[in-house]
Amino acid sequence: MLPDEIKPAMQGVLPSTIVTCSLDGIPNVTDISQVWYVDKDHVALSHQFFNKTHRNVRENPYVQAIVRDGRTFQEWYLELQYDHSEEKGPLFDKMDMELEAIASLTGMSGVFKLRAADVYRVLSVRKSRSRQ
Amino acid sequence: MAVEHEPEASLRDQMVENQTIINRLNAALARKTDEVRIIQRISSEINSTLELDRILEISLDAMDSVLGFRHSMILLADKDEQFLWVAANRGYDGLEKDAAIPVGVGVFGVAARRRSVMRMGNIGARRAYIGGVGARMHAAGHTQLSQVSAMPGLPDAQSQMGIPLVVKERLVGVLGVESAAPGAFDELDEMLLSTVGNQVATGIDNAQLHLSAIERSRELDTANAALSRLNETLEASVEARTAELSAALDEVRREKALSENLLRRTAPSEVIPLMMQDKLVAQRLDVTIMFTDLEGFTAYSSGMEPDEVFSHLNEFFGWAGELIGRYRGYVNKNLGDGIMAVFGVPFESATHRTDAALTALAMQREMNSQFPFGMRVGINTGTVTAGMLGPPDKSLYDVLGDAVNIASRIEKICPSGGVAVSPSCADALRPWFQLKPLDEREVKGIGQMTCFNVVGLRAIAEDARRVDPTSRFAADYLPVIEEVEKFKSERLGVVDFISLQARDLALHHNEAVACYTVATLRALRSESPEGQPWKGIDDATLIAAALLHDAGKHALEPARLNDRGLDSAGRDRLRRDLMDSTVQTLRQIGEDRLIPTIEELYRFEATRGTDGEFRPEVELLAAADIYDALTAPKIYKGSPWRIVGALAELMRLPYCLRQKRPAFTTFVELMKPADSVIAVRARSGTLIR
Repeated sequence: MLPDEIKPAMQGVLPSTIVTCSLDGIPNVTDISQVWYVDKDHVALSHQFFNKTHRNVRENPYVQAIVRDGRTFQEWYLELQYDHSEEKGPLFDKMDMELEAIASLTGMSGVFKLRAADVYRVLSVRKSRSRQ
Repeated sequence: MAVEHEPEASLRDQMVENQTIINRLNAALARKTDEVRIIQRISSEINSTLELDRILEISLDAMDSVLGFRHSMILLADKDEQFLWVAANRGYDGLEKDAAIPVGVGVFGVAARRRSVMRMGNIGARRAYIGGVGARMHAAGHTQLSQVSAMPGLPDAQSQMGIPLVVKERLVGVLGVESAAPGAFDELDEMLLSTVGNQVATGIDNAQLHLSAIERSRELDTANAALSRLNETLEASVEARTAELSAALDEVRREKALSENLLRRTAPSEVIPLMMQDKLVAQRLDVTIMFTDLEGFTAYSSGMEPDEVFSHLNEFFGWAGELIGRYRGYVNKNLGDGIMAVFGVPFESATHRTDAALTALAMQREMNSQFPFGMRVGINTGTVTAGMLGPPDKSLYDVLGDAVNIASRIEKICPSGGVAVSPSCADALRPWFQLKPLDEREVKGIGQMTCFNVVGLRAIAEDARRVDPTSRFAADYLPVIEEVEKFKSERLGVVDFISLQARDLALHHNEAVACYTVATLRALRSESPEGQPWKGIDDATLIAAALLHDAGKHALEPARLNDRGLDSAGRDRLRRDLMDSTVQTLRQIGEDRLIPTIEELYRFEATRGTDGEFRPEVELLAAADIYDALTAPKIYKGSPWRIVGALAELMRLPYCLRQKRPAFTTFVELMKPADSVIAVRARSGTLIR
């Protein structure tokens, strides 16, 4: 479902927005650094901390995400459904490596621990109209 | 009038979008085609040189001009894979020489540590976030956070790509490119650079190997020069030292010989290593004890000075000791003018009874010509305990048991010049020896006992198990036996056949084989006087070959020769070792000309004649050898075969079944009992029932 041209928006150059909702209907909006491209029908979010987003998703798997292309500033709207978490494997390793690379540069090795790679199924994708 | 409809806004957008997609795909395709050409060119350039600097230059050149990476560097790992040193770079001004990145730090460092390609396009954003957290932690008092020094490269790189260079599991280094723009590298860049990276890795590895090879050869040259200088000085000092050392060595050798001689007097030589290691334990063994006593020595030596008496006696002891040793006996002690010898110590022996009897016979045979006095011998077999006996500084390898005393008493009742053995001993010796019963006597400790005198070995002609009295051989060819004996003593006097045969109790085997062989040859000749090939064989050579065909036995362990438990592989090995030893012995005694025939004989017996054709001499020898092996009593086989059975077995050999063999047929005719028929069943074709 995801076209190739969305890939630049999933490099973490500009922050992405994640919207979740608890079972009793209270929404939560937060910005994260990157939504990862897994394959045509899946994306992944890194799970590092326990927080409201995480709690909501555990109750209610439906998530909305906005990703932004760092060069064109093109926005994409994604509707996602939580599928499963991975604590090892190539996806986890990739995320973990990047975390390690950045943390080591700022003297923060070992501070940030990647708990899991949460994989989501893409339910729909929509390119937002550019308003120039 | 037709109304022109404007395409809907969404459709137009769609067309624009499609065009964009098409353009992008075309660009991708063009890149892909170029890709292959680029890789090929880079690859061939890198492979054209072994110089490291050149390879680095080519690689960076390619990354810049061909792939379009403006800022690139090649990092090489140190030996311990702890640091990455910037070996070459492009697109930077003033990159510090000897700049280094610790393995595990940053994109390049983590790519190296994990040996995995890494591509990041959002470094700035990520650093800002994490750096912010870090600052807050620091403000809150967490001071364990380590400070990281500035990394070589672009100060604010947003995008970085690191390709680890690994050859045969060794980390060679990292290929790194970076950009100030975020999201500067895509999947395609990653794939391209990975492919180039592989080429570069191999090229660098080759160059490094080449370098170390050059280093190594230079090191060797220096080492060699130093070594030859050292040699010269060394030779001079060695000469001086050698003279000193050989004097000291002679001294030590003399001491060692002295102490060994002392030791040998107290125990059999096989036991000495065990004694030295304090590992000798007393054991129960089945042995044969021999007592000798000189007759008429007192009379002979009366009136002699002590010196002369001792000199005569010691001469006797020396001669007797050598003979006893030849038959693997152990001189336990001297008792006045007598000797006590034990056969079958310190290790179990299958032949101790016959060894003792043969020793006694040999001594008696030669006594008369050697010494002006007679001798009595008493032999008994029994179980004794053997071990080191006596106070610590005067201990002796000794045997204890009733069997010892009985042997001594048997010696007392022995006729002069005879060899007296106990009844049980006689039973064991009967297959090979001629025995005569002595009068029944009271032997202290046992009671009435009929001992036997060993007259000598059974003669071949009188041994009905070997030679049937009604055979043609017995009728016409007995003189051959004497001829062989004469040849043996005249031409091969240097070989003690009996002691050789005693090892596996193949007594008179060689003489028997020689007799049968020569008799068969002559029988064949008389059947067809002008007939080849029998006419061309030399009798003397044939006899010599027969007598010496297993002369190598002296070098093989009796235990091995008498091993009943050998499987076919073991027997093959034994046969091979016996052949090798025999060939060596033949060379030692100057009978090299017999070697080809002997080797062929062993090949015949190993393959039962199936391995090709053989010389006629070999046929004759094989027939006789196999026949005697079957009919004569031995230790390692069960009961001997009857003559008729043995002859039938000869005719059943694959060798004889393939075609008519005159040597075998004539041999059988010669040896068979007069009234028997040896059935020969030739292999026929299909049997129609």
